[in-house]
Amino acid sequence: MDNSIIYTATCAHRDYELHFSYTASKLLGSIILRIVETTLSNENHDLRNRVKSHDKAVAYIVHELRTPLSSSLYMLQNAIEDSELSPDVSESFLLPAKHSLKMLLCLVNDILDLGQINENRLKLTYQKVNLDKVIQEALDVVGILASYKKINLAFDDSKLPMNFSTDPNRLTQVLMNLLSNAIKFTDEGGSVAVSAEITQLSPCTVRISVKDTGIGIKEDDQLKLFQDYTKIDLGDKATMNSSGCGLGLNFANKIAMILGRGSEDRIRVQSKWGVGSIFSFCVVDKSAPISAFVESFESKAKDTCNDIDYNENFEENIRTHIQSQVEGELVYKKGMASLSYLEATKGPSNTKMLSVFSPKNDNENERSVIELSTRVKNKQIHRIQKRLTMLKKSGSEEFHLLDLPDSHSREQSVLPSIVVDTNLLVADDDAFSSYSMEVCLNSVGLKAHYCSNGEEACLLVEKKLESSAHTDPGYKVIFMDCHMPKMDGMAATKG
Amino acid sequence: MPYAEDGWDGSDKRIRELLRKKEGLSEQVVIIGTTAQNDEALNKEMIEAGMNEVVIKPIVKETVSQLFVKYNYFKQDS
Repeated sequence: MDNSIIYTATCAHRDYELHFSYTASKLLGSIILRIVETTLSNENHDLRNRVKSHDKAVAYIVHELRTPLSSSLYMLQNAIEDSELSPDVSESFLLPAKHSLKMLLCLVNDILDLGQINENRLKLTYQKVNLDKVIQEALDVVGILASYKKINLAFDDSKLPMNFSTDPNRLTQVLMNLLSNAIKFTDEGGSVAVSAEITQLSPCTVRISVKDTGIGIKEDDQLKLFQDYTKIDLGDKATMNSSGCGLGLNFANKIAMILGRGSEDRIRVQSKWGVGSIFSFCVVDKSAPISAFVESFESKAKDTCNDIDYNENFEENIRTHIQSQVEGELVYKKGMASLSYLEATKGPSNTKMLSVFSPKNDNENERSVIELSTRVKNKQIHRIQKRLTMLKKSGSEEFHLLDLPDSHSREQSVLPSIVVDTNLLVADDDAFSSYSMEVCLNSVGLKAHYCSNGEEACLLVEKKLESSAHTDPGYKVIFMDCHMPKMDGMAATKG
Repeated sequence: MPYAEDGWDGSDKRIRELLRKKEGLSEQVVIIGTTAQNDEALNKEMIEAGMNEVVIKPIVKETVSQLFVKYNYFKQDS
């Protein structure tokens, strides 16, 4: 027998065995790996679901807390305003209770907002504001805290944009957080200064800084500043950090990023232990670009009256654009002058009017009007004066447009004081909410029927319809809570 | 019907549907959704269900006044 052949055959056999063994182990490895991966993936999925349901439960509980808290606060405010109540009772019991409730409500709102931010669901409401004024208002609020600790509060009142598009409430929230922290961590007699400067013109960007002469933050601790529920150990200064749950700064940071340009505009910190800190953030003007604005105008060009956001920076562009689009003379009037002009001209019927409304621009609710004496036919002037009167009397500060029927009539109309024949229904399962609603409606001379779920609301509506005349809908206004047992507000409304 | 288990008989006795049976009545009734939370998705759902608008609780008298002005429920003084 040829040894070499045997050897080769043995080797081949061994190779085969080795190869088989290698393939088998590889296959086994893959199977084990797949099993581990699947197990881990399932566990990961389970964990995510558990976190989700946990977050959902927290959101639900916090949401449920908010309703009674809001109602209690409202009732407490009513009690404080009650002229028959002794001032001592108000000052000694009600005001501190209101302060505590407000703090609790703020915390609840922060947790809810944080949940919305994490799910990218937080919606900001942009409007034109005077930045100086927003900052000053925030300073006014924390002024009491500062004076209590004899801290000098200063604002470098630089020339900031008057018509800056941002969410003033959220901006105030960020400012208040930074200011109250600055005051909290500054010893008596120290100082807190706010400054603001325009860092970019297009889009207009303003950097707002809050500088304090407080205890400062150690370098290691600066990294922990923006973590949820984290409070820095201040050693012998720990009493300074006794209040709060370590959520505020992280929340302010997330809001600041939305007010700015995302993560590049997170809150910046410069600090030296024992010397003080500077916290700064950027706000970016969120005005719509001119193209979107013009597009919006053009899409509404067939309407009699176009109501659009106000921005002084765009006025010239608007006028140029309109002038290029239509024949005729362009008349531009601003504020109350526009109303006088309309009164004087009696609103010619071939007029197209573009109205720009800026309630917060002046002390009075004023409307800027660009009027075109053009060849556009069948155009009417809305009863602008009536709208303004209504807005003023309703105390509205927000941008609200009241849909009134078109009319050539320019008669002066005023807001009414008495409500007649108004049948109201309030459906709310929360007794406290219903009661505060009742107090609220009674205070404006209204009475309503109350029920505690959607099913009852439907039955009441049906009953009322049966007993009413053919053309009478029975209830004319229904306040319907969204979450109720048995049948929620959406299901009860369905249409 | 998702409401049957809660005792709802599954009929069309929901407010907008009840009103629609009598021509023109549905448009006359204003349904204001109330909620404690400003949640865009929920607000959208409420509007889609047929509510005219959504307000955040607690509802204060200024809000009520504005709503009544908006929906012309104040009697006009001459």
